[in-house]
Amino acid sequence: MTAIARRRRGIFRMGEALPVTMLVAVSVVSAIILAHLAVILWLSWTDGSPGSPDLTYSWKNYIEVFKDRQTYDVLANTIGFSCVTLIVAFVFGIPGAWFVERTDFGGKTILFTLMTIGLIIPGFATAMGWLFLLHPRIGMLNVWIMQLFGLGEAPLNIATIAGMGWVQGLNLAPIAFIMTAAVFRAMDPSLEEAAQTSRANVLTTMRRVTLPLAWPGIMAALIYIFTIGFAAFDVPAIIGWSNRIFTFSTYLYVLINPQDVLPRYGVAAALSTFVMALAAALSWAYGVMQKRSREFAVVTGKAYRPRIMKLGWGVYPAWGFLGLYFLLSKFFPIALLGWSSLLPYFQLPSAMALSTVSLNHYLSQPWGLVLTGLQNTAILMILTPTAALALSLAFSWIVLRSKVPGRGIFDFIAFLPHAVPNIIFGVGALLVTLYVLQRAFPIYGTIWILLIVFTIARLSYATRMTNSGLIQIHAELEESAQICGASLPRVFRRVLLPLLSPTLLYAWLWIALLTFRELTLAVILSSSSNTTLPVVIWSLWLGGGLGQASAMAIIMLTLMVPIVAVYWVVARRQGLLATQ
Amino acid sequence: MSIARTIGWVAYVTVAALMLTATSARAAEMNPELKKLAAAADKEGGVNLSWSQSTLGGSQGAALIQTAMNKMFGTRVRLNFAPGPAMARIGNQLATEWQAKQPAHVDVYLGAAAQTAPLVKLGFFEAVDWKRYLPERVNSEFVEVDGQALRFVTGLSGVTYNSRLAPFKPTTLADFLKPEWKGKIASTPYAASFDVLVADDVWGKEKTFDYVRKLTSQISGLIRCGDSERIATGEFIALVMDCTGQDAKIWQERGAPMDQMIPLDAAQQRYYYLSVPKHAKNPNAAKLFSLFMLTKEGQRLAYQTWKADLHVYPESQLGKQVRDYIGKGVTFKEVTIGWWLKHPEITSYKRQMIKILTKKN
Repeated sequence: MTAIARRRRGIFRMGEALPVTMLVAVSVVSAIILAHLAVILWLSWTDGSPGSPDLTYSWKNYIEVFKDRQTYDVLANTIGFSCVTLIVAFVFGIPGAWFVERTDFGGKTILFTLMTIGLIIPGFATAMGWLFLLHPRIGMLNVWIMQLFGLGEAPLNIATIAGMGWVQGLNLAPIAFIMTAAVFRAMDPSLEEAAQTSRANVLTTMRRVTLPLAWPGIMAALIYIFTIGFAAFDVPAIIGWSNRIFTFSTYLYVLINPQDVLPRYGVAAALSTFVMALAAALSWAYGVMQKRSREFAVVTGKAYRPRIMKLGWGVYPAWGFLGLYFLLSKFFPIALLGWSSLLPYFQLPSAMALSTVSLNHYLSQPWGLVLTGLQNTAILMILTPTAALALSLAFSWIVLRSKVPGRGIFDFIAFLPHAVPNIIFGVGALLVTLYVLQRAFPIYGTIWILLIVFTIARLSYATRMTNSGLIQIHAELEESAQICGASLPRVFRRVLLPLLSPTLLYAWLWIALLTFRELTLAVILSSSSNTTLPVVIWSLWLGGGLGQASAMAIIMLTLMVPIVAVYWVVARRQGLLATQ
Repeated sequence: MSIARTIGWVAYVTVAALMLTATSARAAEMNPELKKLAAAADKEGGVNLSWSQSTLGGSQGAALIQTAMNKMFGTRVRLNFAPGPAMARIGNQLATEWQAKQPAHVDVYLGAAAQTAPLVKLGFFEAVDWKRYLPERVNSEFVEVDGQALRFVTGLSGVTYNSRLAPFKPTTLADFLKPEWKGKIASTPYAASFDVLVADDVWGKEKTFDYVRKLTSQISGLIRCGDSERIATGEFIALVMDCTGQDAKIWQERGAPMDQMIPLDAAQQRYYYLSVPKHAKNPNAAKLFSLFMLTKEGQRLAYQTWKADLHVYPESQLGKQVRDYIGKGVTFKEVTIGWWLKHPEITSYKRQMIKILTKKN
């Protein structure tokens, strides 16, 4: 009996250790993901502290959540914030994508590079910068406008839902760009050409043909960004918190860190359950839109060339528009952060302020802690992408290549960490390690808890990458290798891994960079021994060391440069920073 | 080996020997109990500490204290300091760890009566006979709830404000309800100091709630007590009310236009305490650190880094200020853990006030 026949006959050949190991790994990871959510669900029905003998079960938490007006305010804030985020991200992202994919705009590689790098810059760093730029009293821009026009009040206020959404939207515009660029790239140009043959002008063609064609893809991107906005923690925490504007993540953080004795896990869990239901609905909608967007895709081959529009003199406004985006989203906030890091306390530029400029904040960093943070961050940057991709490969192989009954469920579970806000996973992990695993696996307060949760959090992205990579490799290649007597581990080593290596390398670097900037999960699970660099910045900021936090953020951004350079080289080699 | 190198080595060994002798001499002055404690702390090798970066000089303060403490006790204990969240959050993390039977993430808990009193009820702080170790510095009144909490600095609550941007020099809490301050001031997310005013024997619920409700329409944000840089920058013009006034003095020294106002009708004298959790990983080092903070050197460093010391010591810097205020007719309400525990009404009132303050109008 051939290997293929053996594989086709059953789930996989008995005695083959690798498939069994992969299935076990996938099952265990799926169980861990579900356990995190199960703990949240269980807690939402409890009254009292977990681990306490007087724990009872009731509806009390749900009643408290839904009776409290603040819940609705928080939800309204979160929805408002996510909507503004979405609008801003699309206003900057879609034109960028259109310029790159459908026009003769020069410098496409530069634009792709800057957009991709822009996504890596931590949101909390730009949020800190925006506070110094647009705060109604100390915001540099506001003060200048007030002085210029003799205004009594600041015309702009970053400490609002719209202001926070603006900052988050600028941060997420690269996602809108990347996702919609893919949509524009895959669109059939013959339909647009037909419209133009029928004497439709550019605007009519765009309104009647381009947008309807792109709509499902745009909707998928829209839901994806809305989900990220809904779960965002860093921007609302830096800007909103001190101005009494709570979104879901920051409100949940307050609930689990109350001012009176014990955390209110039950209430936090009830609120999380409600949000998990919302997230499930959004994920479903995202899945539907993804499927619909594929219906409009064309098969792209060497002969395929999308219709390129000549921008003519319009190239200048295009460059101006994109230049403005980079100035607003990255340059100004980071420049302000740099300025703030040089002053004893933040002041507007003046001769007096200049006389106080020094490197004190850089020299007075808690270096012992910074080094611990750096060491932990480096370990996590290496281990998280490695673990996430190894597991993702197992997930993808089980889902796409094995015959395990009900294997589709594993793909759904792997997507859950994206759908469910990270902070919920963080709280779940905290409780699991404190109350369930405390004896068997005492990982509370260690770097290992961060590794597990970071890996889970990146599983959604990693499985999307390995799924798409594996789909492109025909199963016949593996079958041929098996016919020649290669065992499955050998097939992996000699066929799959070499073919997947570009995808894996790119995904590895991307996850490593995201791990470097991860704040939400680290804040929930941090202690002095497992602290990371973003948590050090967060702690300094929260403890009133604005200058020190700014200096540390600048150091962190500087440290990112070589990593980004490596990423750029790899991505460029694979043609991921160029179009067509 | 070159002559220069040999001389260098001899000099190094001589200095090291002299330092060891000096340290041993100091160690010899310690009473036997303290000596035993120092040896046990030395064996533990480190102590995990966490509080705000603005408390006790944060990481830089911890480094200064480490050097001075080891010099005094002849130990080599490392102070593993991590800038942490608000005192209450560290407290509830400790409580959660205690309930989950996990080791504490910090070995010493630093908090005021507002944060320490509710934790005392959970019974996870070790009752330490502090006087036994340092009888000449530890008075009975410093030791509260059977040794579960040790007073180490005094704080005077009031309002920290930016003296350059303030529309006028405030003298009472009512001043901050005037339109000139509207939208420019901050309060704390934990109703600091209002939790004392609300007690039945101070302002009481009605008067305090009335004030807090009026204040909430005046404030534009919430910051932590240690977040005074935001007052210095002008992001907020005043913090109504603060925990203690140390931050104003710290920022004054850095050239920022900061001041503190002690309201005559709401003057509070509170204390910060050090407590050792029963689930601490390094309990001996934790005790040694706590005791060091009560020594003359410890008090000097507390004032140097945080502008706070225990006002009852004759050498206290804060003591002079307290005497000045009393001379001006200020009557301070002394807030201790014992006082707090006698006012169970505060807990629910505080929760309601937090709700009022955190809600944006």
